[in-house]
Amino acid sequence: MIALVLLAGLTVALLEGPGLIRQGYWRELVVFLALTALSLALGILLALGVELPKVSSAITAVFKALLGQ
Amino acid sequence: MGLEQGRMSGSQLANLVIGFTIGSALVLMPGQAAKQDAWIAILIGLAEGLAFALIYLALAQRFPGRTLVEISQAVYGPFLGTAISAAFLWFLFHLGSLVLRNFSDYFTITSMPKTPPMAFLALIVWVCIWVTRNGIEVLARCSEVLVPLLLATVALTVALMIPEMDLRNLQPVLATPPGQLLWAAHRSATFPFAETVAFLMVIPFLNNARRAKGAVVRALIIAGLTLALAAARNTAVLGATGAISTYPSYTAVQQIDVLDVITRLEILVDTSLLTMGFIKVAVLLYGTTLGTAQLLGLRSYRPLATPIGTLMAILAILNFDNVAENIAFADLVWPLYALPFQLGIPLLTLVVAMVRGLPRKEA
Amino acid sequence: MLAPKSRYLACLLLVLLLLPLLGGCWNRRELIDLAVVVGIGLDLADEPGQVLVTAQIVKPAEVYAPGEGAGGAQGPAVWVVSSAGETVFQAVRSLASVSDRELLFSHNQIIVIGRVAAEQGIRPLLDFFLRNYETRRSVWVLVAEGQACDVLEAESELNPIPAIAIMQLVKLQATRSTVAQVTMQDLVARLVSPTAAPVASLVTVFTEGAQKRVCLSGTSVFRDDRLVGRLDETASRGLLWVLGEVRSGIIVISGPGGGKVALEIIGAKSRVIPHLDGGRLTMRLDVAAEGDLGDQMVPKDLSKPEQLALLEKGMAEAIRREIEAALVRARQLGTDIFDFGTAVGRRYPEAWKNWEKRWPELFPSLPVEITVKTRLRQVGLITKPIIPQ
Repeated sequence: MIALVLLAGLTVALLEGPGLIRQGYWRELVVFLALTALSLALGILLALGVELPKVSSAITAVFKALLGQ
Repeated sequence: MGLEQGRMSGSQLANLVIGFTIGSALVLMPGQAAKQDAWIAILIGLAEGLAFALIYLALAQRFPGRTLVEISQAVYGPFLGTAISAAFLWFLFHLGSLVLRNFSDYFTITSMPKTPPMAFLALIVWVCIWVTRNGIEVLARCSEVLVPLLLATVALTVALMIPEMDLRNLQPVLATPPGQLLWAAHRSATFPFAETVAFLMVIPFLNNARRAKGAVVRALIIAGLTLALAAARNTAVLGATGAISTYPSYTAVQQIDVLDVITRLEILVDTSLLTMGFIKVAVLLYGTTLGTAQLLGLRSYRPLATPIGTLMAILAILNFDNVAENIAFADLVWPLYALPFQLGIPLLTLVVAMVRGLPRKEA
Repeated sequence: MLAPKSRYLACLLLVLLLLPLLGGCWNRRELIDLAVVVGIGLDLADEPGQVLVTAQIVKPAEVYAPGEGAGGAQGPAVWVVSSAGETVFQAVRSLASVSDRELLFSHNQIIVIGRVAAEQGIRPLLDFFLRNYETRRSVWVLVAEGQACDVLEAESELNPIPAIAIMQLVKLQATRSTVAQVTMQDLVARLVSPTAAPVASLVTVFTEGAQKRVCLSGTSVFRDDRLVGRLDETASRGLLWVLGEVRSGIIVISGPGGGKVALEIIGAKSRVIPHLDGGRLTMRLDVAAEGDLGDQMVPKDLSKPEQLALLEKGMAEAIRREIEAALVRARQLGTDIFDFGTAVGRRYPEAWKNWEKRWPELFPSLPVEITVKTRLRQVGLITKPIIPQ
């Protein structure tokens, strides 16, 4: 599973990276790599089965606290 | 010079808005809390959504050719503008992940319970990424093909369901307590009608800015009538049993049985979610991607489509632990949570722009 | 733009990523691993608190190539298997301990509920069938006079698959309209209503020589979700007149001179109108039926307007008697099988809020005014009976 995630990340980087470098779009490359790294990290955590916080459920909890329920 | 070179026509925008609004709403059916008055709740919600949309349109017309990210830079200045844009982009991104979650939940429940949700998410996000990378013009053309087909499908299912309908199921009309009816109406305004706030990232690419108002209003009315018709259809077919259904449209279309030959047409509901859900997620992904690129001052938004789409799919999984949390969120949180983004940001921006007399005419 | 080489590599990787998708869906199931269930029976198991689920499974090889040996002793092309469990789903899944193929429920035609199980309440038994994605609400629901498993073991002379035979039998009742035809959707619509009483076809097993056969014999009636009684065929048709579900059927009346005349029902409509007058609620029931002269055993020319008018009157009276039979039975059992409650709730939503809770007490004493209009249209290929001309 992790291998698959890494493979997908590699594919994306190969498709996108060289073009950006050739055009000298360094700023774009940095943003792209940062976001890709973030999604890869989260993807690997998911693949490892790590319990991550549930975003919308957390929002529900905040609203319930605000509404006093 | 803008990041988006593509342009679309008024009718393409209209199709895009119809597809976006129908999106996952045809399957999840807003207005359910009003039971047999669901169709009325949807129509009231449509009126509320139209009122919101007029704010979006006024804002878009004040700043032709500029997206909400660019508008808020102009109106609030760099710091506050960036914060407001970021909040708005979070809303688009989050909404996209919620639609994706509905998407995987639907297919898990109705047909493939053991398939991991990521399998559905990866496939649909893949297509959305592809279309985002190709720009708004391609997406607009997709909707031009898909939306008329969807409308025809809804008309077909309504026609085929006439034998199964009992119009008495719609009675008593307006017996829902007013508070309950208005809350159901407000819920259907926040999902799906006022979600068209996302089009503040799309309307600028209309080839003729004056067409925006007519196109969006017409599209919202068509989408609202379609949803109200579908709600009435479901109630007429299912009666009170609709109240216990997870996906009333699915269950209602299941009842179609013409001479034992034309049966099992649920696949039509599946395809409607596939195509309209695709348009909705694609618009949201496009908006988030373009907005992020504009916010960070990049020269191209295309490289961001893949990582942002991937993150959207990951957030879809990270939204909820289970479907019960999703229901609690949709019932209680969304109608309030969405308001600052659907009403607050556009209205505030419009008012501030008017007070500051923006945009100033360049000499 | 990508360099050709990295573009090629990326495309290759894409293809590799797509490959795993070719297998189809995750838990794919091949036809040869599946057992197609065509009928399900629900009974109470011998162990207290447990449900006995019986499945009738098609043996595909034998449907079109029945038993090789000499004709005669050829059995049905199905396998009937039972399993107990604490819930319906557990029992269903436990069938896997005896069936070597995974069960597929998408093509299930009938659900039979045993009498004893139905008397205990059917809501808990039906949850699985609505919740599961394989089962459908178009399935016919029947109540067995005895055990559901016996119904599924009965054979049909004409159809190698007994459950399909029963499904056809239910559909054929439209030609007599003496048995309520009820799908899961119809049943659930009444189970979610606070006042409507569910009904279902009633199926009985009888033996003919060494073989078990089934017949449909009226309508079973529930109070809330518990089986409380049955309507005979007359009262069943009475119920169907009220519901506007009479499609066809034969009405026999006495002709002039006492001989019998059979009228074939061609179609019928009904309207139920609640009427509130000074706090007093009455139900007005308008039934309009059309018919043809089917046969006559009276040696008299009936194809005259005044004769047909007499027959129409006789038909109307017969229909009224059938409706009254159903009314009497429903009042005895204290169950609103006609769904009058919903009609009242739609017409008088405000007053209904008070009545809804007391409906079981109000319903039996509710006055019903019946109006029946009948029309005879055709007399067939002969106008006069076979008498010397």
